[in-house]
Amino acid sequence: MSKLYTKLGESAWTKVDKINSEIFTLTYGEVVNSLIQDYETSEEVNVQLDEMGYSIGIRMIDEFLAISEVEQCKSFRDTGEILAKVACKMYLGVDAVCKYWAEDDSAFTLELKKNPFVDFVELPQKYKDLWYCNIICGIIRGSLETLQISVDVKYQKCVLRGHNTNEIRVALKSINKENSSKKN
Amino acid sequence: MSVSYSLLEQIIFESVHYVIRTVHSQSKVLDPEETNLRVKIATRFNEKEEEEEEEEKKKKEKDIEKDQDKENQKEKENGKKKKQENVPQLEFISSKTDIERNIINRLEIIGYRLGERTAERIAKNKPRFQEEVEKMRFVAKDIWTALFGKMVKNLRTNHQGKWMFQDDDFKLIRNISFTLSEELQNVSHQQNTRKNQQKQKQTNTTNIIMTESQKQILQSYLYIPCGIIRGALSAIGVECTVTVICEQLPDCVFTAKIINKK
Repeated sequence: MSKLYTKLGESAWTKVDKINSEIFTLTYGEVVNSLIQDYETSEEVNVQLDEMGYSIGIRMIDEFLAISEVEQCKSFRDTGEILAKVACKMYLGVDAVCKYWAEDDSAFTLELKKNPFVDFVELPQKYKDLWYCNIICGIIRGSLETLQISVDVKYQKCVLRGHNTNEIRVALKSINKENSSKKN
Repeated sequence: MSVSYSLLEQIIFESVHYVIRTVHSQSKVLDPEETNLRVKIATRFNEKEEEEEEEEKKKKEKDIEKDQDKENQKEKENGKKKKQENVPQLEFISSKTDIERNIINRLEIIGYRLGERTAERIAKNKPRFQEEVEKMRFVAKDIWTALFGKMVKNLRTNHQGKWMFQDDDFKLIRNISFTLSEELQNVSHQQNTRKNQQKQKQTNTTNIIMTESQKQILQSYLYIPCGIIRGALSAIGVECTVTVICEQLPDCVFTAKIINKK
């Protein structure tokens, strides 16, 4: 299955218009800067980034499903694999890995070794509690919620805070099968 | 390394929405407090003026006897005029135009800094620009391909400091659609004229003709690109103001007016 997903990821990557990742990093940096001006503490900025990501995720999921042509997921494990192999490849051009699955497959850790949001960025001391890429958490949460899968997504490790890699913990809260037309 | 373009688009859109939301919410918060402040300052100003008038009156009474009455009368008249002039100073701050200005400012600054930095990165390895034309061409070709995927369709000037960048398929707003309302249904009927059909065959895009309110909504997404152009030009040494006109949906004309410093 994972081979299929990597193939799907690569074919989706070829279909999508691309832009230089440095310019992308600059844009994201400006957006975070604008947010920092409005709020005093890093916690508030984290929440705002998550909210922004949520609204982006709601819109993005349609495009993702249309371009990547993934089939219906049979379990949360498939969802995780698709997220890592297809979605991250298609949008960020990076290969991500799903690790540290919980015993009942209800939670996993998404590991991004290369993160284009974060290149050439340094966090000043004042914002050491900021999860700079928290927008990714919001995007994952928003897109999965439109598929009636409600999740809890939190950043666990970030390169900007001194860790080795970027890790996001995704924990399943509930799947609402009754109202959904597309189940994934 | 590359990243998907749609992610960039989404982040830019979301930041536009965010700025609009926060400016509106901030102005509601400021409204009652700041207007009270303004009222207090104005009344203090009135009090000071009244004190000054009284002092002047006393001095003049002591100095000259003959012109006392005349001057008193004049001062009283002036005092009345001043008081009348003071009244219109009680202005309320958060008028609609203030909110708009705030939004425009913030979005433009985001675009400005982005344009500045991309221009610095791209122009690093290029030889120095000597003429204005070369600088404009740099923006039209290199900046546009880096940020919007293709070159500008048309670059024109009036040789008096105005440059127009016309892009008939502006990428950032290509995927914007308005919710179907009665207006748009009428518009879609208009679209099936021969001219539009020919255009559609050629460019594979549908040019949407917009109403005034839709144009206003669209305008808020175009401030960031204006800022990008202004920032890129200022990074290579041209100070200007940038405005944009968008009549049909993907077709935009950015106008840069050069500011001559003398």
